[in-house]
Amino acid sequence: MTEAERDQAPPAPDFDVDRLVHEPARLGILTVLSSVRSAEFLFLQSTLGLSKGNLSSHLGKLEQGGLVEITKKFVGKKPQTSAALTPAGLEAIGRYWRQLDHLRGLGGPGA
Amino acid sequence: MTNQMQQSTEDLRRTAAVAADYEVLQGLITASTGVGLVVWAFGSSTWATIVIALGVAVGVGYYQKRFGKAVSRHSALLTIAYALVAVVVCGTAYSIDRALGLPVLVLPLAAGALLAVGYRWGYRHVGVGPAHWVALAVVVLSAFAPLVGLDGLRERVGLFSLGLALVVVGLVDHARLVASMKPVPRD
Repeated sequence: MTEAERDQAPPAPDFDVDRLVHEPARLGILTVLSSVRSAEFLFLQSTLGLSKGNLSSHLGKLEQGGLVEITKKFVGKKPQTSAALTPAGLEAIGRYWRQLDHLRGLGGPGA
Repeated sequence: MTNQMQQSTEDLRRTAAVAADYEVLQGLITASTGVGLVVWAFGSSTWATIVIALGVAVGVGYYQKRFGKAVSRHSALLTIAYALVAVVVCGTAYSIDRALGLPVLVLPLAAGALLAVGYRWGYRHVGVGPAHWVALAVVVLSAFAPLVGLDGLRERVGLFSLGLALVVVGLVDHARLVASMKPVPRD
């Protein structure tokens, strides 16, 4: 391939899946959070059907990975936890879904 | 991509759509507003106001307690603007119907147009179903009630049909929301 042909060639497909995002529970958390500005802990449990411990663990990993921001506050005497995507988290989940859609396109008829 | 993986990604996209339109799917609030309008159609605007205010307060508390809270990406400013425009337009239309006694009522036509706009914008992720369109059609058709002699409520026919439509739409939306949420397992 000449240099000119290399410059004109389409970019190589992005198949480097982020394992932090790919885990089903974390994928669910990130996908739901991408639909809202922020969500309470109970909302994430209700939409995803995750137990408290399971959700806490995955949120912790996502926070460590810089994809989610967790806010804790007290409403009266009750603690309330809510989560929101960081800009990096929004980019990561968007990239993941684009990769998935691209893969789906590869598996279609005539591929 | 395997069928199973395709199914679970579709399920996740549906869950995300419900999350995105969570506020509008809180249908018990819509339904109680509808009940308030029906009460008003039968003569009492004071009781109607009480029913609507109570419905909103109890409804918001109910959904927060049952499913938790999420802050929508829908613009709060646009939502408030839509609500204000709806109140002003419907209020003006109702006043016209009261004052002029036209053979075709203005309020149901205005309410139908506002519902159509609301459907397009508020349900843009989950979409609307047959019940929503039937409810809208009933509202619009009620504009012609005086022409066919169904004007026992006179200018309040529009309030009644809109109230009924909101009750139906609200109950359908609540059912959709409940069906989409998952039981929370204990640790």
